Parts: sequence; structure tokens; C-alpha cells
Amino acid sequence: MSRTSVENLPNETFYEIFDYFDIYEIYVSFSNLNQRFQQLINSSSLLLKIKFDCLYVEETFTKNYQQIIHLNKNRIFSIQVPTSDYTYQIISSFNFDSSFTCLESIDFNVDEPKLLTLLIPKLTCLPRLFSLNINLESDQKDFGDIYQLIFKLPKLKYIKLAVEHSDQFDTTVSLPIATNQQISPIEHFIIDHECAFHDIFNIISYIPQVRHLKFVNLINKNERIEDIKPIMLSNLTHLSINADEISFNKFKTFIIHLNSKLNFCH
Amino acid sequence: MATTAEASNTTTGNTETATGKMIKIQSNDGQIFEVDQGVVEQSSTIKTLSDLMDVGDVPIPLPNVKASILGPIVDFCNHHKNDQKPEPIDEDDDDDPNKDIYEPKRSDDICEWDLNFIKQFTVPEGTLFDIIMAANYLGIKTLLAVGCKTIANMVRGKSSTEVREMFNISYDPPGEGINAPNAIEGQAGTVPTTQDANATGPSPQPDPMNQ
Repeated sequence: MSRTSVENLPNETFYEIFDYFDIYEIYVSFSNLNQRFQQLINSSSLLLKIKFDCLYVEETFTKNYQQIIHLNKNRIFSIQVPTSDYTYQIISSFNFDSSFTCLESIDFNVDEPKLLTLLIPKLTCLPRLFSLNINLESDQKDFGDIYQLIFKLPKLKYIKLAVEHSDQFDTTVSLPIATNQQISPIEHFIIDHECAFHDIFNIISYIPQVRHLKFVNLINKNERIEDIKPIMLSNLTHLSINADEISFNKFKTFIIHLNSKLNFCH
Repeated sequence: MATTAEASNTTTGNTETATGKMIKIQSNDGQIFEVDQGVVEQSSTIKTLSDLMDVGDVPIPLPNVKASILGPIVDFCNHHKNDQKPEPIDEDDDDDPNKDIYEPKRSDDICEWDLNFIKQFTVPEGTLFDIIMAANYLGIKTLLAVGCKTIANMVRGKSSTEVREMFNISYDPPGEGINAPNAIEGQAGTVPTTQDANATGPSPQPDPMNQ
């Protein structure tokens, strides 16, 4: 009786196995085996997840990724660049355009705020970019320009902007209140840097559809919340705030100003 | 002739136990196993069949699984039947709710019991693939994940040449499949290889992706 071989596994099981790999690893280990494997890795059913290895990012990117990316634009599903060393080089080289029809998520680290102002506009043409996760290592003080660019991403549902050591700087977000033409579809918003009440209300004026809102480092700048214009966030159900030295009355006024139907407040 | 394996201590009838109704399942070589609801719940195939059929004392036939594989599967499900359900997503989590689908899954998180369990199945005997195929057929997601993670861990970091050798993967015949003269050029993300049309059998081919 013949023994079962790996080639007896059904296609669906190979796709389950491929789920454990970045696309480069799939090509390294499964390409050029035989026609069946070639069809599996070239199938439109296989969405490609790109996760650059921190240690070998430059070597692997320049040698092999570029060809894979160029030929598979319409199957790339997610991109992760866990190191800031080559972020601009890597993200720029994608030459994003509307042919990236499956790309839903980008997650990258960057150490120069200026690079963000160059990179984010390149993402506006992506037809399905739902999720953006940015980790910024810098001493930037004003994030207004960066948020303005983020709010221009037409399909974004989730954004997290984390700034390392933002508590060491007097951080602000210089934004005017949004006009109707500037409304963003963001539903899940995480601000992981210092932020004052006044800045928050300006930010959330751009995201009236937000459902899940988190402020990791809300600071007290002796502002009078009563003077800030309330904002209607009718979809907001989850609010999470990490704040020191905020009085209960101030917090209460803040919640009232949000005009929301919270299910969860932490 | 059917024989009854002792997946439970009960040998007759459609028995009720502390864990509920016992169900009989039958391997393709005639061996019968009695399993409780805790096991049935882990297999979407057995659950569907037992719900659809008023099986009574009649064993549910599982024509794609032999006894030497079905027995360990029953052991696996018995071990895991009291596992806690996955925790719901933390409402205060910073991550995108869809993060899991955007990242490659982890394969290094197989628990010790499962690691020891899967070690009894091997590539040379083909039993590792038997258990994965059976888990897929029976709809046992946890066991299928253990099998796929095991394969992923074996493959990770290896070139396709090494993968071919490890799993004894076949070549396309000369002039056919990826060895056809114009088969690969233009295929996404691959680099053409050609096999010597005069070759008499499989031989290792240069793999530009792994050079």
C-alpha cells in the first residue's frame, strides 16, 4: 500500500500552510518545485503578506523582493516594515498605484517625520488601504501636518500613530477644525503620543464616523474644556484614555462634549 | 469485521454518560470508536453527521480515515475537550481588529502535549500527512493547525531544493509542466528554469531563488 506524501495534501491545506509564511519565504521554499506548486503560489487565491526581516531587510529586499513585488502588485495584501532603517527606500520602491487592488494594511517604522510627509501622500491612490500603523522615532513636536495627510487617505478605517518618547517634548497637533470636505472614514483611531484636550477635539472633528477611540497619553494643559466646541460622535462606542492629573469634573465635561453612546470607557 | 476500540469504557449501545450521549464512529478498516460530545464538538464533520442522522446505535462511517489514524485523533480530541475557548478580543487592545489576517501566523506556539503528540507521525511513513488530511476531512481545526504548523516549522528557512528532498517532491516530466519550453516565463514572481529534455529522470535543478 502506497504511503501518503506531501503531494497528497489538498490545495486548501497548502494555503493553510502558506499562512505561516511571508511571501518571500513562500517563494524561497516552494517555487520551481513542479507545476502544481507553481500554480499554488501564483494563484489569485493566495494573498501575499510581506514582512521584511529586520536583520536581512536590505539584502533580501534588493535581491529578491523587488521582482516579486513588481509582478504581484494585485495580490499584495499587507506590508510590514519592522525596522526604520530602510523604510523610505522600501515603501518608495513599491511605486504605489491603483493596481495594488488587494493591499489593505501597511505597518511601518520611521525615524524622520519628514519621511512621513513624503510617504503618506503616496498611499492616497490605494483603493483598499484600510489599516495604517505608524511607529515614529523622533523628536517631532507638531503632528498637525502628518494628521492632515492621514485624513486624506480615502479608505482608511484603522490608524495608529505611535511616537516614541513623545512625553519628552511639548507635543502639539496644530489642526484647524475640519470642514465637510475633509472628513475621513476612519473608525478605529489610536493616538499613542502626548495630546491635549484642545488637540483632541480638533482631531476628532475629522473623524465623525469613529467607533473606537484611544488616547494613550492625554495631558492636562490647563485648558478650559467648557470653551471647546462639543462634537457629535454618534458612532463612538469604545473610548479608552490614559491620563494623569485630569480631574473627574474635567473628564466628565470631556465625555459630555463627545455626545456619544459609549458602551465601553476605560 | 468491525471491532470496537475502547475510546470509552462503554461497549454497547447509544449510551449516556456524564458528558452526554455517546456516538460511535467507524474507521475505513472497520474499527469502531465510541466518543462523547466533548469529542464530537471538535469535529465539524462528525457533529454535522450526528446532527443530520439519527444514528442511534449505528456507527457513523468515516471512509477517509483508517483506525491507526482515527485512534490518535480520538486521543487528541479527548485531551483537548476541556480546553478553554479563545478569549474574546480585548476591548482596550491597540491593535487593528484584523491584525491576525494581515500578519503571517505564528507557528512556534505549539504546546508541549501537542508537540509530543505530533512526533508519533512521520514524513517517511506518510503518517504526518495522513493525520493532516484526516484533520482536514473531519474538520478539526485545532489538529489541522498543529499539523500545518509542524510542516511550516520543518520548511522554514529551507530552500526549495531542500524542501523537495525532505518531502520527496516529484519533478514535472521533461518538457512538461514547469519544464515546458515556455511554461514559466512571465509567471509572477518566478525565475525560469529548464530541465534537460534528454534527462531520463528527476535530477536536482538549479534554483535561482535559492542561489
